[in-house]
Amino acid sequence: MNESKIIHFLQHDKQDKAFRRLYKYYPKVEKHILINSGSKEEALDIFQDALVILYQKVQNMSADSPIKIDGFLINTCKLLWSNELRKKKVRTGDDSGLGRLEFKDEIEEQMEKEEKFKIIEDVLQKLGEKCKKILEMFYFKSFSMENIAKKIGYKTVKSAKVQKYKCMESARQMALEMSHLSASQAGSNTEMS
Amino acid sequence: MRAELEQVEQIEKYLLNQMSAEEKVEFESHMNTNEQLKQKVNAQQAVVGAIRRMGVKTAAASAYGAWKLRRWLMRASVSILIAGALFGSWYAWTMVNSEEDCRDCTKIYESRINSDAVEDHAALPDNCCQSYEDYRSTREVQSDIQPDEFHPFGFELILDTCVDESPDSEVVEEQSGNHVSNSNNVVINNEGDDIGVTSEFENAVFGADSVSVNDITESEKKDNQQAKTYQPDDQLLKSIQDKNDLKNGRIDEQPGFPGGESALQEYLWKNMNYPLGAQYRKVEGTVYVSFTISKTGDIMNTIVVKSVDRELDKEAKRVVSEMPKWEPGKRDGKPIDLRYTIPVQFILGVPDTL
Repeated sequence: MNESKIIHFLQHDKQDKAFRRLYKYYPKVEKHILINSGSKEEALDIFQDALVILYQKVQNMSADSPIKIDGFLINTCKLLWSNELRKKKVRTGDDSGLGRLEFKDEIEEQMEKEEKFKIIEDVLQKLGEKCKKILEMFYFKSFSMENIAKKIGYKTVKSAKVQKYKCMESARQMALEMSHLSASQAGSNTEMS
Repeated sequence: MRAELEQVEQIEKYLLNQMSAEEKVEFESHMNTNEQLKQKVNAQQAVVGAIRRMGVKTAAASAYGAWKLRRWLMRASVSILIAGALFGSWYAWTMVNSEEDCRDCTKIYESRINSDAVEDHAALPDNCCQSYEDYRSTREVQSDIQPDEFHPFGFELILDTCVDESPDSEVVEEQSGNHVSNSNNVVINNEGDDIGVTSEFENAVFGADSVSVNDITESEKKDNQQAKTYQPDDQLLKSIQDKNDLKNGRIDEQPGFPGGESALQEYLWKNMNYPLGAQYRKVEGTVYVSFTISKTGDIMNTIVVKSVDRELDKEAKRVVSEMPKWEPGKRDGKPIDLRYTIPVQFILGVPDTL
């Protein structure tokens, strides 16, 4: 009952409500990460990343999906943390328990999709604050251009629109460069090997 | 608008599905032939995805604050509830234990017992300190006590501590050894030799000035002075005699304070404090405290049956309820519950020798 409610919230732009409810699983995750040589800050980061992954997963999830919200979320945290540990080279080969993790394939599939966005997110950090704000209001909060113009302080809707396109253009340019860079890197890597 | 920006707008339209069917077909065919355009569309789509993801991430982070605040509020309200419940039960406890808030129904009970006709019984007030059943059972226990069977270290507690000062003390002494017992008020005066035992405490601040078992209704009718000079009338003695005849149990062994009655004196004397407020207000008097000596010797159900002053009552009740275990009274070799009343005396103007 609660689960279908959370899915409904996530699918209908009420992620705030859903997330607030989902935080009840956070203490469990925090405990897991603290036990496995992590800190509280890291635990919170991992949990929030997992929330985002869950959100993205739920967006195109059918009603009869076998995925259980709590299991998916907690296992995502475990996988994310084991990846983190591997990156930090703190622990190797002790992931035997993770092999049997429920929804492991779905989680990893979703995590792969996330990777692409993660890279571009880093790019977006280089954008100006105003650009980020406009783009977020338009694409995430789905504000109307009139509303955005008022909030940012543009006299006309048109100038707000032009600003938005400019921002998008520079963001797109950065994303393109990024993908060229990573493509050429990948190319050079394959050449080397 | 620059051509580049127009293209951005077009891609946006395409990504947001705002194109008409024809426009869309045209755009897609254009995209299939133009690799550069395709890359731009992909990049723009990725940017939109990243922006949305960023928004979700912000929402996830801010939900943490909301969740934490909510949890804190929940915990705070739970603690407040617990504190409230604790306070409530403490308050209820003090109410239950406060003699001022319950009524002494002894007289009603007595008249009920004396009148045999059941239909005559008046309704009982619901705030009696002692239930009717309790009263009756205690009463039976009292009438079990046979004055002549008194153990020397039994219950002869004492002793008028101000023998020298009180003009009536001689009367009391005269009455010593004269055991007066009635159904609800068994007053046992001391045997003469007990005075000797306690004389070393003569100037003790606190002491009991007579020994009585159970309720002091009789004393209540008279003031302190009268109690000391109390002379049983014939009719009362007769009724006591009748009641004694009726009783079907005896006490073979009186309960006793460990170390005997002088030890009890010492205990009271050492452990009582004259409440400062009462000292200031110059309140003196004798508080009668009634309690049950259980089979195990524990002191239970301590209540003040004759009060003098709130503070004095409280102190008398405290010291009595904190008494060490007594030796329980016995009937046929088996320990039984017995109810007793002892007077606790507060006298001001204590000599410095104390």
